[in-house]
Amino acid sequence: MNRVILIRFNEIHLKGGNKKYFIKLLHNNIKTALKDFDCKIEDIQNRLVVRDYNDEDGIVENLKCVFGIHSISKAVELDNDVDLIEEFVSNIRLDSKTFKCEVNRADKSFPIKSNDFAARLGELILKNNKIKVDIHSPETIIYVDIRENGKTFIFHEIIYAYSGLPLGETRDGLLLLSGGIDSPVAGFCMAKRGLRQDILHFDSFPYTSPQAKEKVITLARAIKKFTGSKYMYICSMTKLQEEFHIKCNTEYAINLLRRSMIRVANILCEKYRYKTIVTGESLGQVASQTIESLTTTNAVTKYPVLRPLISFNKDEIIDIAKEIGTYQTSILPYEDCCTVFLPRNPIIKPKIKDAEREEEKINLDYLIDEVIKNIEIISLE
Amino acid sequence: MIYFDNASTTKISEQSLASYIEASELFFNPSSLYKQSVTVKSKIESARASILKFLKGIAGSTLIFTGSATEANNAVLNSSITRKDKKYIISAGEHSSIYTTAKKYLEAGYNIEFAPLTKNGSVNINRLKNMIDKDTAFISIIHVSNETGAVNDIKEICRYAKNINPNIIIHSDGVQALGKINVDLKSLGVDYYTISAHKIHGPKGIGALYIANKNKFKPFIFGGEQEMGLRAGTENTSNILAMKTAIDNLSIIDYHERKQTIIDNLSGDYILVSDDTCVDNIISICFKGVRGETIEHMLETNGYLIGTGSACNSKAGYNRVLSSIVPKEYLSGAIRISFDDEVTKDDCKNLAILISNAVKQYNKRIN
Repeated sequence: MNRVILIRFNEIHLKGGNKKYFIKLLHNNIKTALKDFDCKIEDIQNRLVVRDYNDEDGIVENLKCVFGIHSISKAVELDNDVDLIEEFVSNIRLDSKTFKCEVNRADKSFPIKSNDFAARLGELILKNNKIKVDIHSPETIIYVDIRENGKTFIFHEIIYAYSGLPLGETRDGLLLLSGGIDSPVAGFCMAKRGLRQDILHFDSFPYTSPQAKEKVITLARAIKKFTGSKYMYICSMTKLQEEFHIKCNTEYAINLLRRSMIRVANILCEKYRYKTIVTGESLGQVASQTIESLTTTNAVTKYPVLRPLISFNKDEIIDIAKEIGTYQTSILPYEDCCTVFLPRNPIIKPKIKDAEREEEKINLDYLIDEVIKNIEIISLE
Repeated sequence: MIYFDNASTTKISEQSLASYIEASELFFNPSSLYKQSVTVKSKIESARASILKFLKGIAGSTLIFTGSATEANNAVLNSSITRKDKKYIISAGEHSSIYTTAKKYLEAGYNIEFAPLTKNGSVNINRLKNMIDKDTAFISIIHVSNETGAVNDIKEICRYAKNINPNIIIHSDGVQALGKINVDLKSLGVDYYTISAHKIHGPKGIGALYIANKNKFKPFIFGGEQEMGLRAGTENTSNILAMKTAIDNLSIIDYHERKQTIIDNLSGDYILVSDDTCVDNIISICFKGVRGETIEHMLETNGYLIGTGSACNSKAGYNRVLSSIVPKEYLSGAIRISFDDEVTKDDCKNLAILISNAVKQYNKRIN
């Protein structure tokens, strides 16, 4: 009898010919997530099993952050042997008032059919516990999973992970991370669909503080377990913002800033081979997130800008931020570059032509070049 | 780097650091019985006596070493705020270690009253006197304001309060007063007085609480019998001896000329909160319509470090002390300059010019 951790996946099953590739990817990602633990990871049909470990809860916590995993169970592993299984089940002691047994017989050579075996095991539990059977809503379910590889897994708890797809091998995404609540959640959401991302942050020192920058680095480190991030780029937008403020129509300040951010992100995509840009924008949340504003920022990108939160309400975003542990950092009171130089009446329906006309008032190419020249790259490892 | 943020903390002096290192060799637990421990214990007691003498404590008074001035202030409130039928008064200008703790007692249902401030940040003494009555059990007034450098007349407050009720317990937080003005606890008449080492070129992680009558003090931290049973925990010998050295080396320096140099070279629309009656080493200035934090960072890039009197942040809110005495449009532009003898008159002149330029630049770029 061994104690093991059973890992199940769901969407990978739908991958047809690519299923093997995705399982290998998931296996590797689990290996990375568990690199600080002593354990072995084994592939069995349609499951992964972690064994020979010493910190069960620690491993489960880390597995919950690996995308592509549907659910996890702490289980006991036995051979597919009726006597062995019955002996184990007869020793189970339950505190609950009701229970049921659920048997899954993937190994069709196992001599007893699922329902019959569930009834036999149920009787053993009834014999040794003060408990009743409740088929519909039992307090405890004893799961018995009889696999094709000759091993049976017995467990009573299914811990759900985030499902989704395993993070890809290459870091294809560039996440625009501010100090706010939304962008870490956006990074998490795209990572859930397998997009590995590095991080780009814009600051406005001396108008923003070093603490604001530290806060974003903390956020980056907090989400890298999801996003697989390795590098963080920090760009100073101060000169650009000052120029916009002095020379351009201030109503356009935020819009022009967003366009510049996307331009900088495009240059980094080109240089470091990212394929897409991720932002935390949500439709209509602020003036810079109206359809018209998004259209004017989209006009300067050749890489797709993914906005996973576009349809999310703020409270939905906050719920996820709390769930993934970024909320408390995000609400620390430091200004980010979007909140300094904030115009009193930012334009809600900007036009591409007007934005271009405003940009002609300054030496935009030179200023963007300066941003790129002075970029700071931080390793998140 | 030229450092103008000494009210926040100071650089440890060579002498204090030497004491710290030397004392680190004396690692023996002062409570043990062998000769080495007796030696350590005796050095600690000698430091205690020396600091008490410096502070001119009354006969029978004592001093306990704490992990910080914040701990000492918390210990005083914990010992003194005990009954819900009594009145406890603190000033609106107290350091957060008093103010926030007092607010907790207020939330718990104790009768805490806050004495208002005058324009320079000192307590409004007439209003304070009107608040003191026979039900008043405790008063805590900061000696020198950490925000503005305003000096409170602790002697007069003690005289007046004890006249109404001799049993009133009076505490003063002397963290910013020590080394800046003459501290004579016997003459002041306080029951408790808090000091800190790291504001006077000593090490961080140590404060001390003067206790006039140890029978009235109820301990805050329990455990061993260290510090006469008034504060448990193995003594921090290195910090204690380094603090003593820092105090031995204190001398009151006349900073008036340097303060005046800064004021003379400032330009822009500002309110000088720290008037002539404040200590000269802390200057609180509030510029209209700018963000103090940005000014601080602009100076930082020029190698000058100053403090902000305000977090000047919409989320964090304005500085608590200044917001009761400065008009709103000046609040976000609060800066605090605080210096020691290291800075020269030229440094002060340069600083004032840099601040004025930064404000001008800010107004040009943002306003």
